[in-house]
Amino acid sequence: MMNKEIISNKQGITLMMLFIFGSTLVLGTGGEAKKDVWLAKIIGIILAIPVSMMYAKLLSMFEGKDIFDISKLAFGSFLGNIINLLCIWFALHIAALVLFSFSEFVGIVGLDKTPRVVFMGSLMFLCAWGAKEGIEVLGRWSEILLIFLIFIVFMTSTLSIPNFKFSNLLPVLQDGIKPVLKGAFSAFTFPFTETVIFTMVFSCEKDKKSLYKIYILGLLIAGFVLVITALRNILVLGSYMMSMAYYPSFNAVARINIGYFLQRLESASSIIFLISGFAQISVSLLGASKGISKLFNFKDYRFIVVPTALIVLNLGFLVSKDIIELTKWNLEIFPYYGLIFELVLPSLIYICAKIRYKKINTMDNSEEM
Amino acid sequence: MNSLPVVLIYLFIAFADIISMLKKKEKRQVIVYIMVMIIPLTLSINIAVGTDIPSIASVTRKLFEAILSMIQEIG
Repeated sequence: MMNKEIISNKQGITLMMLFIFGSTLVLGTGGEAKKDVWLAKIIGIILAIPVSMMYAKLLSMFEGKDIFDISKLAFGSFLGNIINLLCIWFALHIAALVLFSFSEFVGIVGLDKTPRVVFMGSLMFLCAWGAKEGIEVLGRWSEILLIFLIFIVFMTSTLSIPNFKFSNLLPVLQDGIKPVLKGAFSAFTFPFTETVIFTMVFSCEKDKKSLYKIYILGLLIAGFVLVITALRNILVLGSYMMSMAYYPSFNAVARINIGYFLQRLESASSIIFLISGFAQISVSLLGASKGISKLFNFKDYRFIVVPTALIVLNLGFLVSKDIIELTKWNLEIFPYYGLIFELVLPSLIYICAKIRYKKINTMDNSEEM
Repeated sequence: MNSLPVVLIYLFIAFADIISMLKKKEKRQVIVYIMVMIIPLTLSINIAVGTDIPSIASVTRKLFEAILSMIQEIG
């Protein structure tokens, strides 16, 4: 049983946006830049545009094929499968990281005595269900849920206006350009080029421009929302409080108090985390499941979703000891770690595929004849 | 004894999935399914028993710090 799953450009963009939001909306990124974090994010978006275009170009070069098929075509079966294993690992790791962040967040801000396996297991069950239903269902789901998420982000940002201190933003570039560039590098790898996972999920059909649209518009709109939230957080909290907080968005929203009537809106942050975290885990799970099934030359991936989800659930316990270790790891190690999977490997596949492109095309045409 | 409920849960999940695969006569899928299922089962038993497994963050940190210091020395 193998159905061709097709999603519209709008669904692709919304899914891409939710994926980019992932854990970033709550955890924050580019913290090295401190009060210039908004600038670091803008530079990160600009740096991510050519990389996203490379992902789209890579997929549009081979009709109906994803990165697993392309790497096999470019490197041959053996080397291609080794590269595919690395891609599968990255997808599993990203899913586990989001799952861990989510369970730590719920454990810290709310249910501190509940065993972590309860939140992780329930979320993973839903994600496995979503991944099993396929990209079409996830696309339709994201189209509906994104509206709520955007509404929450803009509502909380608007209601935070009375707490804004514009002196928190000034002076711009107080510590020079170096921390901003470090923050931009950090934002580039987490979350803007994590979208490499979509190369495992998407494949290009007749309209080759649609992939570019999905990648670029998804990146730009999600990036704009992330810049807005970063500005809100820095204006409300200031650089010192922001560097101390593990969940800056949660802390910034918690300060909203309009006439002692509109307050305690931080639960809205939890809803944001749940929606975007679900999307990111589901897409990563889908990518990893597709990769594993292709490793064993299966066309259908659905039968392997449950074991893959269980791997993610277990990795969720092993990614890090606690949120302190994870935050340090995200700042110091992830930019280099992510670069391998998000830039080096796709570039290698792209260059090799480009070189062998004509050869592969002629081989495919002769097979069809 | 801690690992017994874990094994039972895994058996229940695997049984439910494998039955539907066997109905469709997908024997190759069943073999791959069991092979992949062994990975989370092993991890779960280790977690349940309380084996001291280093976190992925600490392992990658050691690896990348060594690589980065090597690059710095060369530079």
